[in-house]
Amino acid sequence: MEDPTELLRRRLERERSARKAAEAIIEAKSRELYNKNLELEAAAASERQARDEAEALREAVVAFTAKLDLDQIVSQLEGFLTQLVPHRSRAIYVRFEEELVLCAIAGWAGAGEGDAAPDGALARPPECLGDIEHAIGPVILRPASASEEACAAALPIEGPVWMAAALTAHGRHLGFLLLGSDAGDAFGEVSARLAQALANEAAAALENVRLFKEVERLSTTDPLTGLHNRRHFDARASAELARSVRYRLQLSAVMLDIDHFKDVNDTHGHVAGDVVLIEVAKVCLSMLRASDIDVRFGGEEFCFLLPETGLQEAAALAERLRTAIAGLRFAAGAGAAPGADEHSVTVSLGVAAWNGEQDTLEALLRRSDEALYAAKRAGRDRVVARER
Amino acid sequence: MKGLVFTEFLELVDEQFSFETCERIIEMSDLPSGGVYTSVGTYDPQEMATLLGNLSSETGIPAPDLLQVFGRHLFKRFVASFPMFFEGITSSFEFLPRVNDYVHVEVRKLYPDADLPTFTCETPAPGTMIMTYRSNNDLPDLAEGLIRECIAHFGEPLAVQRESLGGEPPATVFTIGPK
Repeated sequence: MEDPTELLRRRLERERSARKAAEAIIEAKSRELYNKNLELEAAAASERQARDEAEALREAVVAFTAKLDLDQIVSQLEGFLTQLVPHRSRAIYVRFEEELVLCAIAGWAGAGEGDAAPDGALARPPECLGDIEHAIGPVILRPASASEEACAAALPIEGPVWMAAALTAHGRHLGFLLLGSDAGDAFGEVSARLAQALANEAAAALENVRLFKEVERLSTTDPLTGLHNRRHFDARASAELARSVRYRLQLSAVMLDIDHFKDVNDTHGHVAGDVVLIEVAKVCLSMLRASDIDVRFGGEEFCFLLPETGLQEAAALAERLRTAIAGLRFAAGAGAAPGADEHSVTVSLGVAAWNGEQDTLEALLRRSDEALYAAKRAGRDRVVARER
Repeated sequence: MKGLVFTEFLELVDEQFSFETCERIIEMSDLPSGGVYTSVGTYDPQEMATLLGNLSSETGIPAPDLLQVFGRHLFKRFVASFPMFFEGITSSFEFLPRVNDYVHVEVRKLYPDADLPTFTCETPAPGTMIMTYRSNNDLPDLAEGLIRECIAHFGEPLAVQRESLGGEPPATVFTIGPK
């Protein structure tokens, strides 16, 4: 038999070793759990950030969708950029027709008082920016070369780090935004992503504005001449009439008809006829005031309603229109009859004035129409103004 | 093999035989681990076979019988240590499928590398369960002890029959049904 003390000693030795081994395992496991916890905390933080980001963007989408005005969209974009993308200065360029125009600027020392958008050369983006508008995703720049330095200096924002994000919607390049910062670590992944997302939302809203205006224009104008259609004329004429009654203002109507228009079509072809209509409308639009209301009634008959204008002034305008149109020269078109040469047209105009509260739009138009027929009967190419 | 199986085994030897028997078989076994086991460690299953063989020769009790007793002991310890696995469970047929589907799933969360046996359960007819045990350690007697103690725990009048199927890893089929 073994010595019991020796057995106990062995048992104690083993138990002690086992305890140490267990402690080592537990220690390793705790460290593993601690690291796991750190990972979970980091994941939770990035999850929170992603959620906040998503929430901010959702708000931005709602805010942008509600806007149908360019200035509102631009200032909305500025607001969200200020809130979500840390930067020191910014500039936003938006495309008008073919030109990129600086619409908003902030935080730039060169802007002077009030951060107003500067006029002149600065209103256009520096050429060195090149094709930045066509870039996909944000472009983050830290000028490295001398030419890049020079370009950065030409920008209406403060560096040395700057970011550009294109305003693109449905493949249309609607402009871009520039952000500048003096923080070396500015425009990280999150900032860049948010800036581009905001730019996309703003671009979608800008595109909506453009489409809305286009639809509005199409629904209120005659596609051939660009003059307004009858629906638009009626709506605006009623409003103008109400204003004239309220403020006891004068109001006149001019009715215009192209003389022997059928002959133009017959002799020079329908394409030439369309050209005549377009050019005559162009002359009229160029001589009318912004407040005047134009309409093509169909065929070759146009009418103009002139607010705050008496009969004599209206007749004088009609005479100027007659002279200008008579001076137009049209080349013989492709559909012209053999031997046809350069040609011109004349117009007859009837003028009538608003008779006060008891008068109606129909009556005013009828009187100007009667004056037009009087001009036609008197031999065309003239203005007839009807006193009452 | 998980250290818990070793620490429980040695404790059982202490209790059922004696402190001296326990020390003697460890000494005889000349184990690579030196017999230093912790419940959270992992050890070569061959050490269990050596310890068991030496306990059998020391006590004169066949190894399979010892393993059955050990299985029953493990189940009791299991009930005492992990009551959460038994919450709302009222029968062996409810509990046994959970060993594979739930208990071992939880064990793997703590010990991703554990080489655990599998217990697949089928109920071919009401009142009868066929449980297939597969283990790289192939200790069907230990499994039988566990199953028998489980039945005793729920106080059920059930009989256990067993059949070896072989294969890799070796399978044993337990048919549990009315006596």
